[in-house]
Amino acid sequence: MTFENTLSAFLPVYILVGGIVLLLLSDVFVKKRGVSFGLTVVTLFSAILGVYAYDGALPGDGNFFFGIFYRNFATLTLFASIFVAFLIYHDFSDDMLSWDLGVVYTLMLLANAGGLLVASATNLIPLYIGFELMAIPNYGMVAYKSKERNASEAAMKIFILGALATSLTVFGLSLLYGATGSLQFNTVVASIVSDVTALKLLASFMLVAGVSFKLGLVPFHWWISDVYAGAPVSIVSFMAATTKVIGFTFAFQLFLKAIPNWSDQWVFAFTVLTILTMIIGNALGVLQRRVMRIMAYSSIAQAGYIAVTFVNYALVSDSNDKSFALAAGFIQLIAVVLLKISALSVVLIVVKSYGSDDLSNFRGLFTSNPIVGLSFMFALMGLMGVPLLGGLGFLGKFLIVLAAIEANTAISWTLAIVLITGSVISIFYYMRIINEVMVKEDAPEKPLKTSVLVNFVLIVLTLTNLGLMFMGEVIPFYKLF
Amino acid sequence: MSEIILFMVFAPILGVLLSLLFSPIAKQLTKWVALLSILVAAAAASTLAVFSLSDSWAPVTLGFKDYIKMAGIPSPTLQLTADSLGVFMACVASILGFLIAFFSVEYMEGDKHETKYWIFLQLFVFGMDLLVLASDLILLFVGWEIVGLCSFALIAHYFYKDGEDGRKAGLAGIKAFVFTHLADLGLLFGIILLFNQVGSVDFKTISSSTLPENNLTLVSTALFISAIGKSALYPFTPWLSSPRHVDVDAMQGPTTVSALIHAATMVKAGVYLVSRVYLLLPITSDTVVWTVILVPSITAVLTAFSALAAIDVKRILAYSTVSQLSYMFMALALAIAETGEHSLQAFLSAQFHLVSHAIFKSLLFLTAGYLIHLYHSRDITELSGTASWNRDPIAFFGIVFGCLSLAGIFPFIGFFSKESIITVSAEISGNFALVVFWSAITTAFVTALYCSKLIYYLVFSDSEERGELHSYPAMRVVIAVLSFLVLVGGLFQMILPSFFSEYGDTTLHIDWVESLVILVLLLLTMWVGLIIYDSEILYSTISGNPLVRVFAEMSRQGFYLEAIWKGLWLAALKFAKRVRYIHTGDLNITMFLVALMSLVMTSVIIGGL
Repeated sequence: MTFENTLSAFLPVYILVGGIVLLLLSDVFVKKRGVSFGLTVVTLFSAILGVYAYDGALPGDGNFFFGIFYRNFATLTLFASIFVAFLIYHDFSDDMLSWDLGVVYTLMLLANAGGLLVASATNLIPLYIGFELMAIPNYGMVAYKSKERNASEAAMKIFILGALATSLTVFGLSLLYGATGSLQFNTVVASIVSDVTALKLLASFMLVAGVSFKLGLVPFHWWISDVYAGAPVSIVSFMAATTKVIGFTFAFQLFLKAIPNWSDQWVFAFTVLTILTMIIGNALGVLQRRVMRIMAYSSIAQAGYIAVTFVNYALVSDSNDKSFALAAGFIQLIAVVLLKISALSVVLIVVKSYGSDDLSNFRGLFTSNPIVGLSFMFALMGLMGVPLLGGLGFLGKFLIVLAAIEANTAISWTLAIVLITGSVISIFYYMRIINEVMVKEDAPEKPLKTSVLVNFVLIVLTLTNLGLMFMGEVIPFYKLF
Repeated sequence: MSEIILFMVFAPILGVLLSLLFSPIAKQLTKWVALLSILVAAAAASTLAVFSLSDSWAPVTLGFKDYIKMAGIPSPTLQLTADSLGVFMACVASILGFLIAFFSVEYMEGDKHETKYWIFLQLFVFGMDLLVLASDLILLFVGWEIVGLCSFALIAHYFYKDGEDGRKAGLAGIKAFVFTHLADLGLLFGIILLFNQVGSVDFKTISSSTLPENNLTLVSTALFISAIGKSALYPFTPWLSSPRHVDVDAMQGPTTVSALIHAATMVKAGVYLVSRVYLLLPITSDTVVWTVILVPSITAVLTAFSALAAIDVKRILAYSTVSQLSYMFMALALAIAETGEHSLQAFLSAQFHLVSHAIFKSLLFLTAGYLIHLYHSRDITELSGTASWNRDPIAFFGIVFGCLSLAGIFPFIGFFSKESIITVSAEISGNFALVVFWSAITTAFVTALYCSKLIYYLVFSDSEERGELHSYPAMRVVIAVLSFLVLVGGLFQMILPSFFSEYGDTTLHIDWVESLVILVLLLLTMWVGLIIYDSEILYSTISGNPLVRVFAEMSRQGFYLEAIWKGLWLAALKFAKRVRYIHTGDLNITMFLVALMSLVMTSVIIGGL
């Protein structure tokens, strides 16, 4: 493990840390919002480039692996954060805290460093440390507008429940260590100290519960709607995009790389959880009137669709099929990132202009601002999974169902049918929003306050979503992992 | 020659873009752009149709791109193909679409959201053309969804109206969208399953590959479900036509939209899908065939009775659409069940009835729309005598020719198409054909009865004093053109076999002896119907009979389908509300629930092993 190797392998992390230092310095000496914003975006961009600086494992070390899995997930994480940085800039613009922008960005970059660790680790300790490095700044970001009652309530909830989830995860990891006597993935996969089913079951269950908490799978989803409704919108977009990607990276690493041998123990748990998530998450969305809460339940449901990947992956034996199952989940994850950020940036614009996210504030969006209205409709259609018009959102769901049918077992057939049913239920609440967006009458009088940056984000995300639908042309899916 | 396909698809979509562009500058221009773009599509479709009559005709394919590359599976392509069936459907959609659009110029004049109407009208034609010309299931699905989206927007067109009307229109749009999407699940599922089994969604590859028996059953059932959802057969009827007291259905849209949906586009997509499945998949399973036969047979009879019981002119026509669509489905079911010449003959008769229904139903709907536009009422009792010869000859022709054709009276087009279905079902032996034959005959008589009811009220009933007739030249021209088509359309019988010669040689023929017997009986029924409606004593005696009363009430309720769906929806809502009660947001309760759920999950997992 030479110095050069380490340097180029961890280059993106170093870039992020360097960016953090610069940000803090500029916060003290320059104190300009634009500078903080520019620094953050440049840091994230160069970190993306840095991800491609090294390939393979470090010589003589089994704790990290910088392969295609790492590159895909790390790029997606950083990419999502760039757009979130735009939204944060728009969100934290007109209150007392606006000059503190550097601190929020610092927290965000820290979380990204955690994400890079999660994506590259092949050892449970750095995996877990990376995960916590993502989670703790997240609590701080939610609590950022501490003067607002809702925000601090949301922060309290996410903190306490997050701590509970962490304790479950750590407990599960320690049981895992007890059962295998190892922390490295390749030895965890191979070695068995104690083959007691009860121990394996307990460890798997603790891990599943802890992970489901972070991903928001039913019945561990209680915090999501409250936190989404309370936290600042841009921070919610961070949680719906970056945090979700890192959470899934962690879960994929843990279940698909570290303990695939225990799939007998965790497949059934994930089956039950995903079915509950897809049905209940969508059913609850129907009853909401606040768009943020609808977004929260749609987020839950989307996590459920992606979580079908765990089952798909475990139930196929062929390695090509396995990588296809993972690729399907990854594609849907990209779709969720693109669509959720663009939907939430519209919500952000509306909340900034009219002060609340009530459904009636979305009236006439289509006519009052066609760019915003149109990209909002595309985002919602993507979340619905409308073919072609929905872009990647359709392709992702299509591939997940295809992977489930490829597995060809009773469980995966059930999941495929539930997934399709769930997405039909979701039409109800997305259509309600679209209906309001199209209506002209009784639209709010005040003009919409939007900014060039957010419009830019909206246009880029919408076009990317539609363009990536044809990615099958460029990147064959079986080569994605 | 393949460039002609591009005109069919790109003219309407170009029109949409141009209309969007013009709408802020010159609002008047949008409607002419729309007319022109649909006219171009119609001209292109007719040109291809003429080409396809020649002997050297071969299907034209135009490729787009590879879509998904995966290991070991050939990648699906997005392509358009114009084969006989596709060209035929595109002709029906775009030519009738053009006539309806021409009618709308006056009908929609001065509407508040006229631009939106024209844009979605073009998009509708685009979606339908894409749907019928697609050469793979993914592109077909896209067209299918666009058609669904447009029908949502057009049915909900009047949502801007104040009060009850606007609310109902909005709800009706959502209802149509939700019902058809519910059925679309079947299509999506079928596509994915076919892709998984065959490794391609391309029609050519699918037709040349063999599927295992049970998967074939699954695929064909799934596709059939989505087809009956789109065509509003039982149990998906409520989105098209609901009982009077509910009144939230596709009839809330402008009458021209009803004509478009019923005659040319939306509901015909279901028939097209089943025709396509017939050409692609060799279905042999008896279960599937029974489903495909029983659902439309039951629907045909029951909806005909519903039409008989209704008094709203649009509702009568809507129920009769479902009933007539069932004829096509029954004929297609026979085509699927049989092999050889009879099979193709049944297929052809289904296509013949499709075009015939498209013509006479658009005639009826447009005439009804003309009357509604003039007199602002939808009830036939209030419209009484408005189509009498003395008052309005054009409306008289529209109603009488349309109704006689719908009832299957010589020499109108409906006679030929309906009789060819009945003849085929009589020639084929076996239980399938028997069910179809009797269902078709029963429906024909009930149809004759409600046609005589329409004619009686609109033409012969005493008219109250009404003011001067407002003149609408374009509407009258369209009605006249369609009336002429209904009169001479029987000649299509000669062309259709050579048009569809791509799929094999056969002839469409009518068993004249049988047909004449049925014709005489039908005329008798209509005559009796007219007498009954004319004489108050007879009418009240019959409708006073308790048995008739109960049955009429059931028919009026649409045989309680609406109530069943509503019950299901309420149950789902109740479930969702129950679940929501747990989401209090209180941290203590949440922690308790997490602990509880963890325990439950643990026991579930341990129990699952």
